[in-house]
Amino acid sequence: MTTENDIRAFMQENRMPVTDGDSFMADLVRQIDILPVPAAFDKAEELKRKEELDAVLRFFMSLRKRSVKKAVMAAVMVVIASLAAAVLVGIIPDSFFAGVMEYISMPLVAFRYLLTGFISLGMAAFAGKSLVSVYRQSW
Amino acid sequence: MTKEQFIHQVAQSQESLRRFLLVLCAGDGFRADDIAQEALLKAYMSFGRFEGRAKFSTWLFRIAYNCFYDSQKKSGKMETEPLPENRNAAPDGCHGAARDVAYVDMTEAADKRYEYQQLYLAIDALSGPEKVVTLLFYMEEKSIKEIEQITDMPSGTVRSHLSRARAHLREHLSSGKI
Repeated sequence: MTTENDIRAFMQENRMPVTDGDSFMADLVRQIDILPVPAAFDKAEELKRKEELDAVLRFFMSLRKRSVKKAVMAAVMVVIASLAAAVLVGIIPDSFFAGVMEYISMPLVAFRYLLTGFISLGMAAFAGKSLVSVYRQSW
Repeated sequence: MTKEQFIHQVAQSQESLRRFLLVLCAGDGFRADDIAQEALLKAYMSFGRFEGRAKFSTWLFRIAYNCFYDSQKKSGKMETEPLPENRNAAPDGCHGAARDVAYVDMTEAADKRYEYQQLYLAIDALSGPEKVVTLLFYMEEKSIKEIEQITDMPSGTVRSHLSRARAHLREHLSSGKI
C-alpha cells in the first residue's frame, strides 16, 4: 500500500537539478540594470534616509529634555535657598543684624560693601539665569 | 526593500522557481528559463504591488505561474512537445545562441525528459491544475495556504486536486508502472 511518504519520497528523488544559477542571475541582473528603477525601490531609499533623520532628531530632542531638567533643578535650588534664607531671617535675632551693621560700618568699609555687593549680585545673577533658562526652555 | 535586497531574495528563490517551470515545460530548459526571466522582470517592475501579505517567494511563484499559462495560451503549445523535424533550426525562444549549441541543448532536453521519465509518466495523466498543485506541494514543499495564494484557487479546490493527484500517484507507484 503506497503511503503519503512513498509519494513524497518518489517526488523528491525525481527532483530535477537546476544548474547555471550564477549565469542565470548574471543575465537577469544585466537586464534589470537596463530597466529604469521602479518608484517602489526609490521609496525604500527615501524611507531609509527618513529613518536616519528621525534618529538624529530624536537624539537632539533628548538633549533638549536633559537641559530643561537641569534648568528646573537649578530654579528649584534657588527657591529652596531663598526659603531657607527667609526662615533664617525669621529665626536669627535682631542682635545678629546689629552685629552685621557694626561690621559693615567698621574700617575698610568700602571693601566690605563691595564684597557684600558682589556676593549678592552673584547670587541674584545665578537665580536670574536659572529662571530665564527655564522660561526659554518652556517656549 | 532596496533593489539589492530584491536581487538577493530572487537569487535565493530562483532555483526552486526554475525547477517548477522546468517540469511544467517538460524538461525544456530554454523555455523554462525564458519564462522565469520574464516573470522575475515583471516582479521587478511591479514591485510596488507587493503588499507583503504573502511571502516574497510565494509572490514570485504566482507571477511565474501566470506567465507560464500566458505563454501556453499565446503559443497554443502542449506541455509535452515533440522535437522539431529540422534539428538544425534554432528552437523557439532561443535568443542569439549558436545553432550547434541550440542543437546540443535540444538533445539535452530530450535526454533530461528520458532521465526523468518516471516523473513524467507519473504526472502526465494529471490535469494542468492537478499537476501544478502536485509539483508545488510535493516537489517545492509549499503549504496549502501558499498554493492557494500562488494559484488563486480556494482551499477546497486545492485539496480536491491534491486528493485526485494522490490517488493517481498511489495507483502508479503501486502498480509498478514506475
